[in-house]
Amino acid sequence: MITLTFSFARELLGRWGLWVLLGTILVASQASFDTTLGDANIGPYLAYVSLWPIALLFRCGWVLRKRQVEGWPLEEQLRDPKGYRAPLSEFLAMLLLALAGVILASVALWMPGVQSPIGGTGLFPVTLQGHHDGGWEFDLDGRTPAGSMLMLTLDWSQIEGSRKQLVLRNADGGEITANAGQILRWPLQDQELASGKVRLYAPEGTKLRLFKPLIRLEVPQPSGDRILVLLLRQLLFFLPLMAILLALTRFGRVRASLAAWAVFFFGSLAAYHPPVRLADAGLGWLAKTFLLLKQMLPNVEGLISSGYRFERYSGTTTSGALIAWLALGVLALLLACKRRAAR
Amino acid sequence: MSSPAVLRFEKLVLSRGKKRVAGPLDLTLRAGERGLVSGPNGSGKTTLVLAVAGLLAPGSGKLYAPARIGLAPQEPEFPLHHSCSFYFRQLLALGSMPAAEQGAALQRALELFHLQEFADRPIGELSRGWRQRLNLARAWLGEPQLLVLDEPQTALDPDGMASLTTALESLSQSAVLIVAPEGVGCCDLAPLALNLNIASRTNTAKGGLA
Repeated sequence: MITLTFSFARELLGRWGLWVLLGTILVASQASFDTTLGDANIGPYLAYVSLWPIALLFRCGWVLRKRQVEGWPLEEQLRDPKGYRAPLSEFLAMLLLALAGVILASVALWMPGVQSPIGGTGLFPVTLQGHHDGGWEFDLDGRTPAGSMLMLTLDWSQIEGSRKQLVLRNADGGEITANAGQILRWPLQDQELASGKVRLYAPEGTKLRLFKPLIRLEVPQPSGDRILVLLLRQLLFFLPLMAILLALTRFGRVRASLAAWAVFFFGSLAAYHPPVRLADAGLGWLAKTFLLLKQMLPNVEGLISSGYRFERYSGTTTSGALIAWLALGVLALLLACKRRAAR
Repeated sequence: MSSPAVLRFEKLVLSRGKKRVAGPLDLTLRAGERGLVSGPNGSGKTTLVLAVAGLLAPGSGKLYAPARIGLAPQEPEFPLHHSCSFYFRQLLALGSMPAAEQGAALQRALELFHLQEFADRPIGELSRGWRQRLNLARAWLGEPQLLVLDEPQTALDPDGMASLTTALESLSQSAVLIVAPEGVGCCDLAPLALNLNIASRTNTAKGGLA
């Protein structure tokens, strides 16, 4: 198995693979650590580094296709009747190279001259979906990390009398005391975290107002150097995709290069987050279709979250969703190892 | 007491889709025996090879084949960028041969067909004839219980044919099934066991070796 794994890894790397990996890390470390662009540079780094496992998926599709025309399926059939050595070694080879990417991406941060990336502000604008007398409805745009808070700046100038405190309630009966002159920080409840919808009510007739441009969602800040954890989570996102590629190629008998594209689409779907203005562009139906399909999959968007909003979604994957996603990978790997009967 | 059968067909019918290609066929090959399956083009020789290798399900009838089969296909495919020895080591690993035994098995297969001097060259650099030798050496690799050789004489020079004859004579524990068209010089390699031409005309054929 070791011989097969290393030889497949060697084939995956080819002549330029190692240089591509080093180049990716170099570009990632140089392009994403420009502090003049802003503070939140972990997200861009994660985005650049994710190019490596994506490239690995496509490269694997190409190599598997090449192997199909080099007579490997025949030899596998003859020499490995149980049919698990080749697919397992291919999976291990991809895992090995993806892990090498994670290690290099972590080590790159310790290189001299590289500025250590820092987390974002943890603050994100929130849409006020609707408001009525003494109440507001907020749309947080999807699942929200546990421990997040809704930050509201209230206008007390219209309040009758000289009241300095008011009790606000949500739809489930939770309440919080708002103090005049202070930002209200509403800790999101489980239901609100899951649905991304919040309704808050002020006592009727109090004329409490809200400064709409100042509504913010505060998500928990990454503590210390969390990059290795984030990179490993990214790896967990890609592992099932690698297994699915093998299952499609071997069990599904799909042309490997085509299977790589199918897996890329599937992964994109799992990570899909609609652009804010897609509906305005007349493509709302497309976004809705993608979202509908995405809802059939475990919510693993948080594993692959990157870019300037990475903190907003990185903590949104629950343990249950993660286990379901990995189970999907295990199932795919079992299918890849299952030899289909001769036709 | 005769040795147990390595390969056996009983009323084997070969089909491609709904089209019946050959059969019913009967044949028994024991360890150390060789048999030639002959027939004109389109009589189902390659279909038979695929069925024996487990790549094609028989239409009907029974087919007993061993777990370890070495196959030299008529049109061999190779990873042309690999060296012969690197490729063979991977095949041995695929067959779960322990690493300690791989070197000896590799040497044996290469020596049988005088491929030692090409061991470290990329396969793509080999001529057609040497690739055919490599094809045969690949079939011999890992000491299979049954060797299936589809037109093994193709592209071989006299020296290559001599190597093939010697390699066949060196086998004592394996059965060999050779598939070749009628009139091609494979009669010296193995006695005729099954004629698919007769099989297609009479719709039945029984093969076997005395």
